[in-house]
Amino acid sequence: MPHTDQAPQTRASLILRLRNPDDLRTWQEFVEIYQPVICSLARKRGLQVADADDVTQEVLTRVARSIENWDPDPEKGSFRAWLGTITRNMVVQFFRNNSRRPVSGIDSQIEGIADDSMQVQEFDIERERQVFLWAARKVQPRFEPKTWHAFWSTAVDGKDVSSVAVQLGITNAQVYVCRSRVMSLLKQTVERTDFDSCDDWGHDE
Amino acid sequence: MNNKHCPTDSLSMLIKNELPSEESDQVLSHLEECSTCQHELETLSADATWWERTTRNLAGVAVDESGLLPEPNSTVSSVEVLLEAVRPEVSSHSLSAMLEPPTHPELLGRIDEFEIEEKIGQGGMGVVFRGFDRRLNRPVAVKVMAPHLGANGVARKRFAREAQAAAAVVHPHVVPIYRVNSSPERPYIAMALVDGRSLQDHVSLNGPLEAIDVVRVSIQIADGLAAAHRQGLIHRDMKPANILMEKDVRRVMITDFGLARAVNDVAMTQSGCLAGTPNYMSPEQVTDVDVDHRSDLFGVGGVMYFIATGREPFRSESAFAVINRIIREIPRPARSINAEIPETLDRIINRLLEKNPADRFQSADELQLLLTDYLAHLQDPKRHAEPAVKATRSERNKVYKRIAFGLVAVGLLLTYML
Repeated sequence: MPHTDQAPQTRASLILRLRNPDDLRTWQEFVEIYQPVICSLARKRGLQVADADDVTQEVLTRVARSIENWDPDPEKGSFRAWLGTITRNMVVQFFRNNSRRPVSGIDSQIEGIADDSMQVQEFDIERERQVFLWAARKVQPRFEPKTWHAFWSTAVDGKDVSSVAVQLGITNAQVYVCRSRVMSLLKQTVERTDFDSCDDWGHDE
Repeated sequence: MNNKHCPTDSLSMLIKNELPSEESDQVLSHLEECSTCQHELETLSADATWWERTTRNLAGVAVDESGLLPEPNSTVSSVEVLLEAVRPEVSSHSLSAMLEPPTHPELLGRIDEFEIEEKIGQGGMGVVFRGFDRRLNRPVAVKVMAPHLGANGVARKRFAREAQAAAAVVHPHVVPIYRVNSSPERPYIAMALVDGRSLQDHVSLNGPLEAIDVVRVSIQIADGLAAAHRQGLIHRDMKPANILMEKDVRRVMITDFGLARAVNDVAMTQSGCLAGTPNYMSPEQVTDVDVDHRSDLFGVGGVMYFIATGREPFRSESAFAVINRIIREIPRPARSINAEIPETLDRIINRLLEKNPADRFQSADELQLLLTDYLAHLQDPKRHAEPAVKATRSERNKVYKRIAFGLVAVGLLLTYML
């Protein structure tokens, strides 16, 4: 899987930015991306929307509280793995605190959640999905609708270039150019969101 | 040209939209035919794994008919609130760094002319000390801004500005401010030391107040608030912890005018410097809409609810959930928690807690007049009529439902009798 091949080297700068609570912009982006990731994982564990929101808040609060002490040393595990662990722990704790069901059922549920390797992989997949979605939202307004359409129809929906070219009334070559332009910016945007790897989080475009 | 592959530079420039138009026409016409250059162009923008990842991650996303991506699910949180939750203790080391050496071994230290006796609290913006003004021979409370906040120039100026505005309010129900110091080394405010405790602590220790005392206390709060509002000052953080009650006297005083704003200033949202709970914030405040003095009236509603029932109107385990409730939920009527609360008082509280500022009482003056009338009635029901308080929308709906239910019942009965 490409996203694991590219599991990035942990470098410090984004984490350092998160350590500065004055850096609202970094925090904003962090929350925009990770809130849906955490929330979706919590939902997958069977939590209701409102409960998943609460758990998400709890996780983000913990991150805010302990980011200062987090050691950005790749030997000790990635930021992603750390977040994944906190999420898992909070979900487990939620079930413990709110168990009105028989305890045995809860325990097996908790055991299921505690499977580490699964959790990490699941977290990575969800994170990657949310990062692309987030980046796509940022990138879309910067292109003409036609350009975006050429990209989306061919690169995402998998339609062939010539039929999209006919539909949009442009040449095949223009479709290639359009989608390359979008892809180039999408890639840059995704890259700078990587809290583990990116050491140059350019805020100015 | 058409047979020769495009130079890599030209393709890169084409992606960046930097290729001169004559050249770009040539490249485009070559690209139309040449799959090698098409491939080269795409690889230049991003290699094959990126194209795969894009497909894999975005394929399931539902776009609308014009191709727009879905809005993110409403993010319940604001980042500011999240960061507010972080609240480091001020270490004893940094504590002593705030003070000059004491003149007397029994004392903690000194700040200008104030002898500092002990730390009496720690809140959103720093540490509160009990001190003594030797020149004027009176006790003071000295609020020293946390050092990391003080280091921020914007924050410090705002702190000073708000405190100076508050110092201009001279009123028996507003804690007087004696001195504002905005020096970068150690910004602080010296204010009257109120001998007593906050309504928060009072209710936590003694339980809810009796209805008539709720009204008495609320009249004073409305009175103090009205004085501040007349000067254009909004409190922004009305909560039981910010209302001090003097010992042995049923007199209350509002404290910390405008300081919430100074602390919440984006520039100063440094880790942990904030008091944290959004429990008494108004809907317009948590949704970042411009707030006016009516936001404080919502806060008064929350305070009244708390002192009448011992509970916060909106509570939940997390700040997220609290905010959600503030925006969406009508709190359980105070009367259903404490049956001793008369209906009129219940209605007054509900009116204050209306989501839409236009549905609340429109000024602290209006509230104060109403409560004063109401107090007269409670003290002497025979001579003073009970003031009428319009029901809130949700209360009216409930009544309509009851009437509708009654009509249906009567209808059924008639049908049965005929």
